Amino acid sequence: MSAEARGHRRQDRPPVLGIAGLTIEFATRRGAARVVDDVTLDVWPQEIVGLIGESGSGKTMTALAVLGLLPRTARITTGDIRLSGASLLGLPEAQLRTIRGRQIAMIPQNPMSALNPVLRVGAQVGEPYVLHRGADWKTALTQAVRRLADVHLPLPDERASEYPHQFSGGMQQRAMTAMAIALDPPLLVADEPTTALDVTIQAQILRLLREIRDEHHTSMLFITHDLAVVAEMCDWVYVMYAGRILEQGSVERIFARPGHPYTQALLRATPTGEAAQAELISIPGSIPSPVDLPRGCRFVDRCPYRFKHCDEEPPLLTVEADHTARCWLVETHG
Amino acid sequence: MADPLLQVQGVSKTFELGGALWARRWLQALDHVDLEIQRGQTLGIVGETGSGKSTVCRIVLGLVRPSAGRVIFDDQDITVLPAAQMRRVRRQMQAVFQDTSSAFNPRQTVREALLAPLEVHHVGSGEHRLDLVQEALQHVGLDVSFLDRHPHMLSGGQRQRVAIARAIILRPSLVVADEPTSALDVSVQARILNLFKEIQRELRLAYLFVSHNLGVIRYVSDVVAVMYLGRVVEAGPVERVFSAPQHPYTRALLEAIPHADPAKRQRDVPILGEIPSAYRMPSGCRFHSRCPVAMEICAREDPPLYPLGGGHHAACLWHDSRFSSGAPSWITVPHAPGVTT
Repeated sequence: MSAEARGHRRQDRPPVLGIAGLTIEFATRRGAARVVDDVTLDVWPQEIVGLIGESGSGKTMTALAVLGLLPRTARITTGDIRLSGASLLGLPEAQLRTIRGRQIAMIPQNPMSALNPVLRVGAQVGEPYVLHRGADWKTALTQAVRRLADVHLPLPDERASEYPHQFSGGMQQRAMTAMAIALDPPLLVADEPTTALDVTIQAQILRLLREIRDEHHTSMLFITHDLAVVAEMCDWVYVMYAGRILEQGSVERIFARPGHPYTQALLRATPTGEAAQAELISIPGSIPSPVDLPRGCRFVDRCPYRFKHCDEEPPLLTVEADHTARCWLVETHG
Repeated sequence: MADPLLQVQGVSKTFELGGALWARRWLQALDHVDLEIQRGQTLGIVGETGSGKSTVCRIVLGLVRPSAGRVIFDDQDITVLPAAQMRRVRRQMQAVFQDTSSAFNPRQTVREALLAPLEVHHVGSGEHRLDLVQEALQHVGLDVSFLDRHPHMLSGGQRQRVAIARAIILRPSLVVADEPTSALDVSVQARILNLFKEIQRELRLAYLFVSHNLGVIRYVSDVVAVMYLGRVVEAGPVERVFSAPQHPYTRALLEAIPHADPAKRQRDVPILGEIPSAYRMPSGCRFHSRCPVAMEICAREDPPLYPLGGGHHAACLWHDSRFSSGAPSWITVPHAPGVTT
């Protein structure tokens, strides 16, 4: 899937989401904290693109920037975010509100805090039809029930008149998904959508999101810290660390031959549940502070392969077709 | 050879949920749960939200009284111990929880947090106490520079290390760890899991280790118990349970784990539906409503835990000799009907 999906580049259509050279900074007492640094990332039509990173990698800030929801104290210093070719930066808030919902929707990690506890689920899923399409509430509720059926919520008619607290975590996430796809936006941003769920429910929600991609032709930016979920879901992957993209490529290539020592280390640190995992190899040290980033490679202080060249940051070097990594050793590996 | 440190015997727990006198609602959180932990070993408990994992922890720690059954710790039934004696038992039994940000008094320094258990249990004094604090810190790989820090100055991983230091400072024989790495990043999680194993080797601790992450459970456990709706549905040595699961629920859980390998993507969702509400407990086998291989009888008959040899048990009627002919291929040789442990 991924190789063909990336083939869209050859078409004249722009990517659904194009982030180019995005840099985000916060002003702090200790100087500017650069939490996202020169990030370039594309989501092509019908792709599920994974953005993977640990806490402090900048993945959530990147997502918030796409949604135009960065905290007030954050500043985009350089770069651009384009939705199907049109820049989102500098748009007035009213226009962004129209775009959110119609063109981009978000599936959050914690549906319970995203749903309004005092509003019936049907009204919440139906609201976009009233706000964006000028529908009356009766029509909106009918649409809401249809969407709840789309996400395979059992008994959608009855469930629509219930409140969020009457739903299990998995059902809440289905309701959030129904709300997100209400207006058939071309882009969904899913921020750790299954992290709070049990493994059996996670499998169901991942399946649902794939189904939505296939049936509604939606593209997805999928943010997660979980490599296995990326392998399960995504076509293309960006590995983020300390504000930087350290590796990118098709999911098959990256898992077959992880090119960056950080990606390799993450794979060795993940308990898989499979046999013959004698020891988890942890990564020493911790992620550098955004106000005190290393001069060269961001991973240098924790890297087992560091050598003299690492004081200078490498560009994204080609590992193979559809696969680049920001490490000097990539070259020697050929 | 068997040297059980902790035995949970037929423990049930029913919570009263209020309601009018004639319509009082009850929730059965645990139903005849049997568990055993050997000295120096790790029992892992897995199960979905609502399976009763955390209730088991709270009962073992004496924070909740069971409605029925006994908890034998170090050869005494701790469910009937008077408070004064229970205090002595608690010294042998410590806990580490998931949420490290609420595990500490924000005004206390690491030193004060680690001194507190020594003071409460009147262990040592003055200099000696400080030695114990430093030793505990050393065990978890932190240096003395952490002594004067406050919890908010530490990362999640560091706070969890301090929580572990606090748990081991009294040299307990059992540590109950409820989702201790679930809030941590993968790289930090690996370090904390390795730390748990290292400390176990050094101090010969036993762990009751609860996690919803099956990868984590396989990595740390010697014996595993799989829980579903307040019951243990399968238990046994971790390698046996993971390599040849004998309950359809365990199989489904294992199949639901995403693989870090795109070539192994799931074709089908291994298990449909969600764990039913404990207010409306299913009849017969509790899993029958979601079971991919359920028989008609499963809606009526509640299976016992069938012993399968080698300490492996599973509560599935396919292990009953009455049904051996049509059993799924992964079911190992059925045993005599109705034999319980």
